[in-house]
Amino acid sequence: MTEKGLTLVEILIAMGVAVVVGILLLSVMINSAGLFYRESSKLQEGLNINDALSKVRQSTKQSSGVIASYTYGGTTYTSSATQVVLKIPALDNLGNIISNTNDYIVFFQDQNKLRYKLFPDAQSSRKSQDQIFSTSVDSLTFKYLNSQNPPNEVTPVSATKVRIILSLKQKNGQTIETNTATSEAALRND
Amino acid sequence: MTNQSGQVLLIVFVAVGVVLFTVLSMIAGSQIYYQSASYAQNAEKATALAEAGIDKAIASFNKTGGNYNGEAETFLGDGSYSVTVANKDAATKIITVTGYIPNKQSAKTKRTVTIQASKGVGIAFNYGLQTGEGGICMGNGAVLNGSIYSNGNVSGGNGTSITGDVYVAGGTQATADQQTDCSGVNCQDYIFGKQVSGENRQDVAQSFKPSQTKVLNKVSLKLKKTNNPANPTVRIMSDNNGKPDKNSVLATGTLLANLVSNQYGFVDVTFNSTPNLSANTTYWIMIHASSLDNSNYWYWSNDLAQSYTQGQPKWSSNWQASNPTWTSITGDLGFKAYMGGVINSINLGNGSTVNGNVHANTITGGSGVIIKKDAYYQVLGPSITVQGTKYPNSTDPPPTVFPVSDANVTDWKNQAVAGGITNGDVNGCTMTLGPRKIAGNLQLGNGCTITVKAPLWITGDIQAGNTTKFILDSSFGATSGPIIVDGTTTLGNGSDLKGSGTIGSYLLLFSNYDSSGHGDNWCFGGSQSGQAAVDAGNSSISGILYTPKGIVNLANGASFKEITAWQITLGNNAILNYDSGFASTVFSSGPSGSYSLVKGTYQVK
Repeated sequence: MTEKGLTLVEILIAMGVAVVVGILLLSVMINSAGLFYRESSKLQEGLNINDALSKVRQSTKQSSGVIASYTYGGTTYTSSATQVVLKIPALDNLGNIISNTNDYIVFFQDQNKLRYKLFPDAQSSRKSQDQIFSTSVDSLTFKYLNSQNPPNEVTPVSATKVRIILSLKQKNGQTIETNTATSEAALRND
Repeated sequence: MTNQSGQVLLIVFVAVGVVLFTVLSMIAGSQIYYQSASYAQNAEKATALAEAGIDKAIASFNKTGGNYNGEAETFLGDGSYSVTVANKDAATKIITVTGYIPNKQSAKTKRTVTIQASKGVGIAFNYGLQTGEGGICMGNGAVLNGSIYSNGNVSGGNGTSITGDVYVAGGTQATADQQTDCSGVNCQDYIFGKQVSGENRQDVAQSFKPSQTKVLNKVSLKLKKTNNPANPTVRIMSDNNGKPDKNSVLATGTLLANLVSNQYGFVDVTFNSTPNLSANTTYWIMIHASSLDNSNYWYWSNDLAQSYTQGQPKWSSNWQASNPTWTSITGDLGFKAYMGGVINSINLGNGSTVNGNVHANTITGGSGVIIKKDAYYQVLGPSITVQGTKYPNSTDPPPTVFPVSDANVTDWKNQAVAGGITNGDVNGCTMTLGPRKIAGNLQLGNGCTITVKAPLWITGDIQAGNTTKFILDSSFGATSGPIIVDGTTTLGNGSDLKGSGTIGSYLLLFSNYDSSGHGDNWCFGGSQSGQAAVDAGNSSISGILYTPKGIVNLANGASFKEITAWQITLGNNAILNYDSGFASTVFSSGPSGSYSLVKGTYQVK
């Protein structure tokens, strides 16, 4: 019986201190988790944009032309401000170009997804592809330009350059993050 | 007491742990982002380096005449590139360039670009039969698997069958309505498509006044070029206070750069439509160069004597500017303007069919003529059945230009001369000829095989017996080559012109012979058949026959793949089998030819 119990006041003070410290710590944790979430989604957006733009650039460079439309399996893809249909020379098993034979590439927005599809010719060694580059697309715009300086906008089929403007939007707690990037590439095979 | 303080410490540890985790993950995330971004940037840099390597390779080919074998590693900017060169065929090289960041040994990023360079001249033969003002005259039962484009009348016998489309252009008057040229020391170069003494000469125009109110069918411009500028656009424009009116472009056409060589020649330009011009009104012919380039540009022949009184030349840096500045040029730029207004027709015999569309001013024929698709016309004969849609009041198709220009031919002749000259007639049978100029005739017996190392130029006539074969040497690979004849060519029955054996290679027989002054054609109401430039019996020709001023005559039962001629006369039951490879032939040019990139061969890995 040497030890004494705590007084009510002591317990209240101790609990009060514990609650205050707890709330502070909790808010630090919530904030940091929120920050983590925001920053990593920003990061993801950035990486998506990077990947998407470099894919568009690479495809455009190899392309021998923007075509008006391409139909596959009953779906018609038409080159417009929100869709681009490119034809690229088909390659054989050795990586050589097969003359007068083309594969087709389509970039388009499907609800909030940026999709990339590749339709190879039967003789081509390229594999059919269907990829999603981002699931948070806010807007996607293609511009078709000629080779003049400064370039003028022309119809898709007479384009020698394609410009893409991609905006990604993501809800981040209370705020909405928007990230816009622009890139362009010339049709090297045109 | 000890227990309670221990709990707080625990909570603090957990909290600190969470914060630490968050911070570290964010740092790791930014690290990934940074790496990804710098990788993407490096990849772009590596691609740019590889493209720089391609430019270097092309420049080196042209500097050394093709004696360039690549380089192991060359440093440029933030990285390096290596070039390897492989020969595809006599005229084509495959260039593979890899760009490395920061160097080849320890590359973080690399990109490989592969492309083909050719010193060949690409020529497109898009129609199975293409004729000038002379038109086409077919016997009974001709079967044409291909399309036809004729700048003159088309006449078919009974039972003609055409699988492709038929275009009969609105007729062009035989002589230019307006023209100017220079002579002697008054001939000067006017350079454009390049910055010259501070002037950005991108647009050059020459005005003219037609003497008659008619449609304009084509213009012909006296041009040459340095290296390989891109196709410029030619526009016919109205006049606005002594300047081309940017708001009144009457017709647009493309000047095919491959028709122009580094020697002056008149090059035809046709347009997407044939504009109506009024007599004694000023119009402008305006060329817009696609870029200003110090190494690839154009020359327009300028007459310092200013002998043309109906117009003047001007230049501008931007014809589309809100208020374009047009500056006068001293002289007159060489041109010819041809007016139309001549009615051309297609007339098919009884029971003929066309599977494609027919475009002609007047479509007539015997009984039972069927057009399976659409007909575009002004006048349609009563016996013609159109299964597709009828388009009356259609404007005549514009005349089209021949795919080989005088300038191309001059190039070939120069190459032939560079190979040596033989004076006098050449007789014999199986032998190899060329590249060479033969100042005389080539006389061959029956059953001979001639291996041709093109170009071969014969100033006289070719007379060959039956079953004579001309075969392009196998070293030509996928490229094609020409035989040029200034006189007439007579081939016996069963003769042939063959390519190198590789797909895409063809032998072209080019005849300069002018048949127009040698009799009317029976087919169009004349009394006799004109003297043919090429008379090929009932042969089966797998090459290209090309006679821009002459008649090609094929006997009954002949078969062929591509004929471009001023006029074509086919016997009964002739067969055309057009080969899609004709649309993209490449002719190898001589040592003087410059290398350029082959369209459609750019690949990046």
